[in-house]
Amino acid sequence: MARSLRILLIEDDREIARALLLRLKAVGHDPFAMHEGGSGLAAAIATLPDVIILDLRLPDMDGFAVLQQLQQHDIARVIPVIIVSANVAERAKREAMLLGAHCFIEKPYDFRKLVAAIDRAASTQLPGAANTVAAP
Amino acid sequence: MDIFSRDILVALAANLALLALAVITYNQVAAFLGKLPRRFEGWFAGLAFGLAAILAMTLPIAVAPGVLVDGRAVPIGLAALFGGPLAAATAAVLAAIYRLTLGGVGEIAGLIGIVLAALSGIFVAKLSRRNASGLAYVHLVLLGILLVFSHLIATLFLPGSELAYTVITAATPPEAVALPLGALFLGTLVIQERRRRDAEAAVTESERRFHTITDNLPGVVYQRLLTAAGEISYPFFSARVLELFGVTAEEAMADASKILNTVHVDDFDRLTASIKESAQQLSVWDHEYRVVRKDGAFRWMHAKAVPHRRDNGDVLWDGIVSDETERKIAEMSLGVANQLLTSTNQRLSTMYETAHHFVDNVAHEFRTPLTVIKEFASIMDEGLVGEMNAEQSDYLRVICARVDDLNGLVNDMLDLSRLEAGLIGVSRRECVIPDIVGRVETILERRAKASGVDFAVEIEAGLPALFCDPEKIGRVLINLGINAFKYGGEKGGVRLWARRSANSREIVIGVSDRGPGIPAEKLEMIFERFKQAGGLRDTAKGFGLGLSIVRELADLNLGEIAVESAVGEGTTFSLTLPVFDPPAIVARYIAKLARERTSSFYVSDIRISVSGAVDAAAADDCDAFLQQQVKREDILMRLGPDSWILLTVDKRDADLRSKADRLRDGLAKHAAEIADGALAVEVQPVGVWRLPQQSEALIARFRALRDLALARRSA
Repeated sequence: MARSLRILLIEDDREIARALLLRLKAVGHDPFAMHEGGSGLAAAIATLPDVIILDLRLPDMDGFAVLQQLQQHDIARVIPVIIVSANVAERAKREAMLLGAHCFIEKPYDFRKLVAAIDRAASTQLPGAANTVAAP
Repeated sequence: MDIFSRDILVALAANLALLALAVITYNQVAAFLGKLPRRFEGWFAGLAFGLAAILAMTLPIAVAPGVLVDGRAVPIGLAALFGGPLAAATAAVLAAIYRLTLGGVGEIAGLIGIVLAALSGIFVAKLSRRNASGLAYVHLVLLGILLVFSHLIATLFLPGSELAYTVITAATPPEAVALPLGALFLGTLVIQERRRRDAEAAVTESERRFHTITDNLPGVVYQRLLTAAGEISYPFFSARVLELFGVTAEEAMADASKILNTVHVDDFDRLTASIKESAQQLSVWDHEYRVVRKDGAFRWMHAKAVPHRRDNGDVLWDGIVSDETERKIAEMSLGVANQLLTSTNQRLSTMYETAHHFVDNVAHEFRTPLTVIKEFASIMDEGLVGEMNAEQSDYLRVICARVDDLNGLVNDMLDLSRLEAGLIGVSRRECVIPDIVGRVETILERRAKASGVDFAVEIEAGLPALFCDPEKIGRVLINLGINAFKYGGEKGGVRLWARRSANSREIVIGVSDRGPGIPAEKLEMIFERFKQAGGLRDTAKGFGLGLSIVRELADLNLGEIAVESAVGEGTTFSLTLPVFDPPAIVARYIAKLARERTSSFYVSDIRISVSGAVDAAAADDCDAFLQQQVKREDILMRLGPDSWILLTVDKRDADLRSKADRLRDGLAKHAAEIADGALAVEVQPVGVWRLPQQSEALIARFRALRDLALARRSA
């Protein structure tokens, strides 16, 4: 088990969010959830988590918009974002990758794969990321 | 000049007046007869001038008994000028015969005079023919002088020098005056008449030509006049105006409204406005308008006319109108067809979009609850909310396995719709069997356990790398596995195996069961359907969604599917995939494209590389990005850790460049995000290949690239 990570989960389906929180905690991480795009974005900027897990279909603004806004933020843009979505169209995957997502995981997911992806995302943070975050 | 000579002069003048009458008559007769055939012209002129000479001889003056002086020499001389040597000879013969009938001492001299006159005429005619502008007045005067000398010479042949002397002294002075003047006067009469006639003929000819042309032109030639007061009239219309406008040329020229009234009501104001504009600016009038025929049908006219302003301020156009109805109809129907096509296309693409959104939405709606079910079953199974006993755990696994099945079904349904639309993406790359089998092994094991079937995986050791999309091939294996569990697994279990093909260039992955097997005729049916391209729905009907997807996904991965079965022993479905060997893959790729096409096609290759501070993870990240960008018809091969070749069926230069630009921009952006500017990206179109003609060359290129990559790897 790698180090404990602070994970922001932006997921509108409360049951899925509940299950994920439970399982991520069970493997030693420190997850918290937001159920709308807007509040999720605000939480991301305010708390700067280690990893963000983002759904694409959200009630107020969709995941693409969240991604876009994150990219425009000086510091939050370095946080790796893992898309977990039931929208598995190639188009959606391509767009998400173009917008800077770290990887794309389809629902229903294999939890072990999701955990592996989180570890990978946290360890392959941008070379400049540590500096940017640490810079005064 | 004595009294006698003066009498001779008067007599000669009277003689010439008589001849003038004869020439005028000749002119009239010639005009009446019109243009004679050439061979008759000489005879006719000879006859006319001979008769004139005879006429002159009927009014002679006898200078001595039997010695006659008259103007006969003039018409005989002129005969050659207007009718050639033949006319001269004819006239001379007629005159000579008449002179012989008169007799007298001057008979011989008279004959000699006639002959010399004719010869003088022939000589002058020859002379005039050398002159560029033809017969001139100077020739006529020369003829007159020669005639005087001819007479002098002829006089010398009179019997007795005294007689000759008398005749010469009396007749030569008046002749020296009368003969040149007479030749000039009479010759001029003929010449002028001829010129008048020629000019008239020329006018008639040009008029005839004009009418021939205007009547045969595919359109109407016309003149239009716009007076300073603003009135329109048509001074000229060619005959075809009747055909185009239904009005005769005479009617149209007499009354302009006859023409203007034929113009379609909706086009009339535009027409008159454009006429005024052309008049003001003296610009070429180029106009299209409709004309309504008496039967109500309308025709499209195209008119072009050039205006000139006259001194009095009127404007006159010379123009031509043609019927452009056929062209116009063709143009309009093309426009309508185009519009129809565009709107149909739009509707189709909207429908297509809607359909896809629908399928995507339905799939999305299915996946979300499936995720919830699977999550909570897993949570319970993992004991996160309290210990489960073995039986409970078993049931929870069945739930999870069935959720996976159902999810696979949803994916198949989605893929089927995408396959039919040619929209499915494929991410073919170098991979090894464990990459593929590893991702499906757990699911299949879980599924086998849930169905109570023994399941074994047997993979030959040391298999080389493959070229395929591991996720798609995984889907094939899941489908084949579930199929085997369902129909053939009860007795002896199911095996998933992989081994080298006989020639080692391919790898065969198979799923075998020991079920009841499939009878030969049904097997053939299944096999045939595998072979068929298209017909997805057909296949889906008989053998389930799964097998149709299997065939399509195999095809997408340059693979081949086969089925073998023996009743009572079992069935094996197998999939043959190419080993990762660039030239062999290119050969398969070309073969696949060629199967789908009937004519030649073009494939371009684009070289892609990243350089700089590249670590393996960043390069893999770039690879994942590139894979996302590849269309199913294209093929991307990673030849080194940081270099790729993309083969694309885009043919046109501009398309290729824009594709390369898009790829470069996207990759650069992605590289900047993962490496913060530490990576340099290069995307370069290399060449365009005409296939299948240049297949060998393209394959050879990849053989060279492979050898280069191998050399680099070993170095």
